[in-house]
Amino acid sequence: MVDAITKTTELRAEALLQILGVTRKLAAPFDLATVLAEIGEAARALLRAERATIWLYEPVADRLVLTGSAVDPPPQATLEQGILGATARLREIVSVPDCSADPRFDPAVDLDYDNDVRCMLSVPFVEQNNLVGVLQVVDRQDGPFTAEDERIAETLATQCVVFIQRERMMRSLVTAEKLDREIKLAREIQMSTLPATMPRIHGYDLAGQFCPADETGGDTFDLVTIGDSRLFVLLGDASGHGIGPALSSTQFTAMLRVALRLGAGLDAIFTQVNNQLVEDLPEEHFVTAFLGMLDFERHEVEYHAAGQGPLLHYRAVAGQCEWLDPTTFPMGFMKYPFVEPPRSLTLAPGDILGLISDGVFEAHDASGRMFGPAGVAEIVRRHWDRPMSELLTRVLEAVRDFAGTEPQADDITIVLIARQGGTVADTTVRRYFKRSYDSLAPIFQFIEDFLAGRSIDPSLREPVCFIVEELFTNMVKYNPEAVRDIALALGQSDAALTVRLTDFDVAPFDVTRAPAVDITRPLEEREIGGLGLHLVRQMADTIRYEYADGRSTVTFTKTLG
Amino acid sequence: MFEIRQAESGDVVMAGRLDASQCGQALKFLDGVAEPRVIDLGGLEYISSAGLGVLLKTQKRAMAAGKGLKLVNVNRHIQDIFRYAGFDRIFEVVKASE
Repeated sequence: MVDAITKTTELRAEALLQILGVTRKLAAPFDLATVLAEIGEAARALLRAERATIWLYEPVADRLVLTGSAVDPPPQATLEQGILGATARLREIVSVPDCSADPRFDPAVDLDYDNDVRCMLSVPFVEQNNLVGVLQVVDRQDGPFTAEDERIAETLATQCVVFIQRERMMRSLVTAEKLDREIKLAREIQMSTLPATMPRIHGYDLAGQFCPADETGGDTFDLVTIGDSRLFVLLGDASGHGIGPALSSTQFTAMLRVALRLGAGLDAIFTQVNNQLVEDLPEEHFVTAFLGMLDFERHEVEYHAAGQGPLLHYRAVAGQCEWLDPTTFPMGFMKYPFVEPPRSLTLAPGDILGLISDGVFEAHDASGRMFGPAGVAEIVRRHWDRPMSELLTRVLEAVRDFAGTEPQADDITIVLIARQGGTVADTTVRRYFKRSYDSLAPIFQFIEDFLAGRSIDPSLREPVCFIVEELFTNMVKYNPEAVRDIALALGQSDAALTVRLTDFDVAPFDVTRAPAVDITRPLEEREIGGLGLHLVRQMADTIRYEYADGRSTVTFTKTLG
Repeated sequence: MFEIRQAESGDVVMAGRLDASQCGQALKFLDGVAEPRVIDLGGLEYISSAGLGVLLKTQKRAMAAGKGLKLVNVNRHIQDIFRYAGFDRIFEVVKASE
């Protein structure tokens, strides 16, 4: 650009004025065709030539296309053809005083206008070594083109490049913004179909959340109460990204709601909606979906899981996550040759059914490691007895922490359904104990009385005492500055005994993260330090550590047989 | 309640509950036994990790003198703890007869 300006100063005043006129026009919001015509005309007039034409280079097709042509499609040329092609290939000005004497001349491309061409000036448009186009000026009125003509043409060409580049950039921006608006709209529609509040069902705790990725994905979920004993549960994920899947999932939810309203059963809905999707969706698209019906009087869930999995079934009794596979392939591929009866599972007190979209499992950290079912299981194991909305938040936080600075690549959707009765709030008994080993005897008594008073299996006594002693003595030993008594709370549910120790005004120490102990080492390498917490983790069925406001809380459970 | 004594046979006998508050007493007693060989845990209902520490220390001393400890009459719950702690690899453990 600087070169071009320096050269401009050497031009004659008339030319300069005309070039400035062109530049002004370039600044105005004219469309590309108008401006190119303007530049061509300026070139023709300035150089006192008969005609001027501009060709634009299309890199993908590797060819030049004539602008301003009345013919449709406009004439095209390869880079091998004529003086035009030579200019493009060489990226240098080619001035030919007598075309008939130049072997490169090819009337098929070098002149679209007439056959009687004498001289020609052919100027490439180049931007940072990339070919943008070629300006051709022919038949100067007063004889062959001069060196000054070349400079004028070159200056015009530079202006032209600037304009063409700007125009292309603007066009891509406008397109992007338009797409952006459309995606936002599709997103709003998608969000509007999600349930605004969770249905309230006695004895159950429900939570559902959809966290969109930056680019639209196709997740959706729905929870609809049917009659007074059933809940329809949906989690769906339409394949792909962009507006398509967002709309597919929206349509999918709408179809299901209509079918439900018409009183259709689970199998009929599954089959019919699949058939409809086969007809509606583009061939390569599909929807993975969990369609389930929870009978909340019988605590039974019947479901079809079409390519949707793994499904989480947290079993409170075992204190473990079970992962269930999909029952069939995704919806929308093809009509099901036959529909198997739905699978079913029973929710015991404290059990959780978790529907989790692949955005959670496939969240990855910078090294490409996936969060996976193990990441989910770890959080569920630690927080299963909290309200589902809290558990859901914990999972989302864990996914975010895990991913670190990696962007969220896919929609994330989680639906959690917990049968209550696994939590302890109502039956909890709490006592405070002085920070001394002398408190151990009254602590053991407290535990024994609690178990005896509730006819809980007495064989739980020693393991529970062991864990409590370890946690309690740890608190006493490692927080010598603390003065407040330590709280011990005991609670019972159908499924488990829950024990919680709370230490006040202390620094955090996560007992669940204490290093594992290698119990296979020989005697001389054995130390007692760390062994206690190792044993605690072995003996507790679940254990969780929380820290807030200077308070360390350790909660563990022992499953009741 | 925790009790520790030496029987006429020379075996050390522990009974009751060996928790963190009793460990000082237990260790002191064991240190006073010149060559501990057998510890009878038949009457021991409960042992905490601090109690395991007492056994570990005593075992190190016994091994240094050339002969390891034998833990006998170990009840089921304490067997579990020994297993979790890997004590079954560094002590000779004899279960209580059921």
